[in-house]
Amino acid sequence: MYFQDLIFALNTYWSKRGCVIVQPAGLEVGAGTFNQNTFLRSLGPEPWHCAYVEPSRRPTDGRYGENPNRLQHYYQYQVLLKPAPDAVQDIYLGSLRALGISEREHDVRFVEDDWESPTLGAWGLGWEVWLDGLEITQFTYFQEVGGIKLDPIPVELTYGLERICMAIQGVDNVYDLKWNASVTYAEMHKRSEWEQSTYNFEKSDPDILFRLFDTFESEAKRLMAAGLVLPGFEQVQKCSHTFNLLDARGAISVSERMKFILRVRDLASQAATGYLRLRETLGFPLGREIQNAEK
Amino acid sequence: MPRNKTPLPASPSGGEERRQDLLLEIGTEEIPARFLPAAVRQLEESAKRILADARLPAKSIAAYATPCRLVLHVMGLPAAAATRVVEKSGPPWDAAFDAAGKPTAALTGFLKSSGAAAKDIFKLEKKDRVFVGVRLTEKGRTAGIILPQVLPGLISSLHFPKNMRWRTGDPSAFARPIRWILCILGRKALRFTAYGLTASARTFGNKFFFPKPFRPSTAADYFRHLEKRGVMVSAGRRREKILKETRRLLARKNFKCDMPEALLSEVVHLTEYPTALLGRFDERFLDIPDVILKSAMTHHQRYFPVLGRGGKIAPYFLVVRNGPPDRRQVVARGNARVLTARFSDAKYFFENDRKKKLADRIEGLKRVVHLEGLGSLHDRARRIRDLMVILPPRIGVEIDLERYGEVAYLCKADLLTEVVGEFPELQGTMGRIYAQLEGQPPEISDAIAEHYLPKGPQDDLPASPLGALLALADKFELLFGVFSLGIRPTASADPYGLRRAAIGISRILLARAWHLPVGKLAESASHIFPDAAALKTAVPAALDFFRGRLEAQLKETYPAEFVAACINVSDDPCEVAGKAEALRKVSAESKTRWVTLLRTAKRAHNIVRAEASLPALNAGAFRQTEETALYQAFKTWQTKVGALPDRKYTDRLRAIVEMADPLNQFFEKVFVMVDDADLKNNRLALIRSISEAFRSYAEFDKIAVTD
Repeated sequence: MYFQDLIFALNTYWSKRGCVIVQPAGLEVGAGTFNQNTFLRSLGPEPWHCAYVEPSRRPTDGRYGENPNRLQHYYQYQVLLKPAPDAVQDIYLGSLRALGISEREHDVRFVEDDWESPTLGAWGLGWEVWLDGLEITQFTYFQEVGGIKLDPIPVELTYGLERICMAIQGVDNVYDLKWNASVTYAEMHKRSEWEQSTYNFEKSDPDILFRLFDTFESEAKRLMAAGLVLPGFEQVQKCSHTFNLLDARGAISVSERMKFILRVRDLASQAATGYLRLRETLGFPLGREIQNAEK
Repeated sequence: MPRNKTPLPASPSGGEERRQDLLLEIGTEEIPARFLPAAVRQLEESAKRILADARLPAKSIAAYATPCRLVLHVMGLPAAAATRVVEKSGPPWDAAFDAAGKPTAALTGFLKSSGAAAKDIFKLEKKDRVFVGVRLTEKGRTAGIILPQVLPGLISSLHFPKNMRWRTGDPSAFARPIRWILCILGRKALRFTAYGLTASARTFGNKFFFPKPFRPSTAADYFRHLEKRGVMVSAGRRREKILKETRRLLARKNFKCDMPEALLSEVVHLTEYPTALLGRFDERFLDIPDVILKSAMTHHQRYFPVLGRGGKIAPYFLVVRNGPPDRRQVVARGNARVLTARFSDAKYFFENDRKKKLADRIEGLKRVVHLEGLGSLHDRARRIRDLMVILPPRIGVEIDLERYGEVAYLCKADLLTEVVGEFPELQGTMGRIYAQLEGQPPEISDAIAEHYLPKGPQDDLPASPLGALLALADKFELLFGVFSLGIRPTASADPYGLRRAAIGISRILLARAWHLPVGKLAESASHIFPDAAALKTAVPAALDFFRGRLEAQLKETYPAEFVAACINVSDDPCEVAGKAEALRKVSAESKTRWVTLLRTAKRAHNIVRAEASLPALNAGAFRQTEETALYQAFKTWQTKVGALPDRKYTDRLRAIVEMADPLNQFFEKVFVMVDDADLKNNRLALIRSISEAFRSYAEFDKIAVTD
């Protein structure tokens, strides 16, 4: 199975199970959780089922394209199901079968993993899913997002696409993955891993990044104060990524680090509160038309 | 109407022949392995309590757990709660009959409501009043009625270190979602609701291999069929299966296996149907230090390392899967691939780490946070360095700071290596390996590894003097530093490991016979901390905490009251232990003299402790010869004791025993509390001097006098 086929198979599987297939945030994010389709839509009573690929950036994980398992840019496949269906584990196992992974031929295990994001003020409980000892998915029942206690509880599934594909294709180096019949992962990304690692660790300009952080922060506040939650939240995402770049550059001192995280968390919590208020004003409309039609 | 139900001794239920088994299964999504052993104990204990409360005493109770089910098996449960006779009280006796001796409306009403006849009543006395009483036989309700009422409470009584919610609009929580509840009494399903589920006789096998539901008819049927469906309910049997298969796999190749108990228990609780498999990895990874290979296998993958001849790591690993044998080697090969990736990473990290010396990483410690308010790890290392200057002269050891001072920084440098970043549990261990490879002298490389010791109450102590000193400085800095931030450890939460640090300090001091007044040292070293005033303020609380740990430790060796008598007198663990030892020894030497000492010391303390302001002792104001005699004896005694070395605890205690005699005679001959205030106060001042001399050794009044 080619890398791109993996994405098609998951899209098909989750689409058949009622998920909206959405698209990446279109901004630099550290994980699919930062996408508004997860972070904001987890909040409040509206039902929401979606799936998407999220190209994710972790500047500190860059290895100049030299490490066979580590990337500063990789692909997550993200599924959010709210409320979490009772049979969610079973439905998840079905998605592995859709990738040709039989849970009877392999050893699939749900191993304790508590998830927490200090910058998002979010936490949940669940597992990392192991396939023959390889962590392939984060499986989390969200409990709080943006400091807000959730009800209903959403479940978030985050597949590590490269790892799963390496297991399927039987390769030991991520760059050997076949993207399709003619192009490899190396051809797609190796050069950019080197350039981006160089940028992240050596060439980024901390002064500019600090200024950007301040700018994004004040923009986020201004926009959210004006009731523009969604553009405001995009500024929060930019803040978070800028912080990650500063961190990779080693530009943030020890005593400042926690303060930066708290600044982002504060913004994320404002966005969450603002979004919830917005949906409430609208009368939590999502899913209501379907319910009406069913009546 | 006053009602009072008093249970009387239960009459025999007569239901002996109608006992039956109860089976309760809570079907869940995977509960963390580490929660399960405690959950089994809780389930058993709660069941015992709840059944006793319901008057349903069972013959035996057993609980079991797999990741996906908590199972309670109650054997020999009576069919119904025991029948009992209760007393019920009615109207006051004098309101029960009218002037003509006829029952009043109050009495007839009471009898009617109780279903009793006038001939059944008796006088029931209660709080000096007499009421009408009747005895009623209360037939026990059947188990089938009682259990559905109490079992939901049993399930929700289970608690876990972390809980989650999963149902819309339901605040109740559990370790992980509950997906079904099975409950069978005898051959009947019991119905009740809990967590939005209705209990039934339906259950599921191993979710990966036998996901279809089935309906066992009895408890025995449940255990039999579950095993056929890929679930071994008993953790003990899963463990036996793993051990048996491991022995078989290893015997073929004449290998041994490293099976730490904690890991074995975890693997047992990660599986419903364990099968041991032997996997293989490439020999080229054998260049990596064994500790890294072992950590990658045990901590990260839950594999058991395999050892060949001479205990050397062999290129194999044991993995326990959840399911039947892996005939096509898919699982073993998949796990080997993961291990290869981990080893490749480790090899890369290890080789990379070696490109930079530990000493060159020290600067980088400035960028690692220790704790808000205590600066960076570099700041912490600097304080450890300062303590290595402050501590040795107090303890009475020599250290060549020119040569060894830098180890205070070096010991933290491996925290910045990539191997420790990936394998945090190897902190210290990797530092030693890198230091050795750099050609550091063995004292330094050993001290780096040993400064984390002891990691627990039973763990090894640092073997080298430099390691012990560094470990002491490290723990001292941690304990007092964190306390200075106002952080206090609790019984359930000690995130900075202060308990371990406190125990470590006293264990090292005691083992090396290093005398160190811990609290006084903290005060005099306060200037090395960012907030010296806050540190000084925190010393009493930190010392209290330290003493609590020390007292608990010493009680394992010495009688509790001896430890209690010495613990507050000194903040030097060796002094406390030395005095406790002396008390044990001297108390056994002469019973009568020991009792005299305890009595006299207690009497002296009691008589002076309430006296806030006594004048200075005036030797010229004595009136009785006994006063002068005691004063003279005390003077001579002081000179003699003053000449004894401080740490001759046994000799000093023997001297105190001697001094108790004249003091005792004084009490017998001299009346202290005379009306003449000056005379009285002078006598009290004399007693106080002696009492204080005694109490500077130990609080003798904390030791019970036994004849």
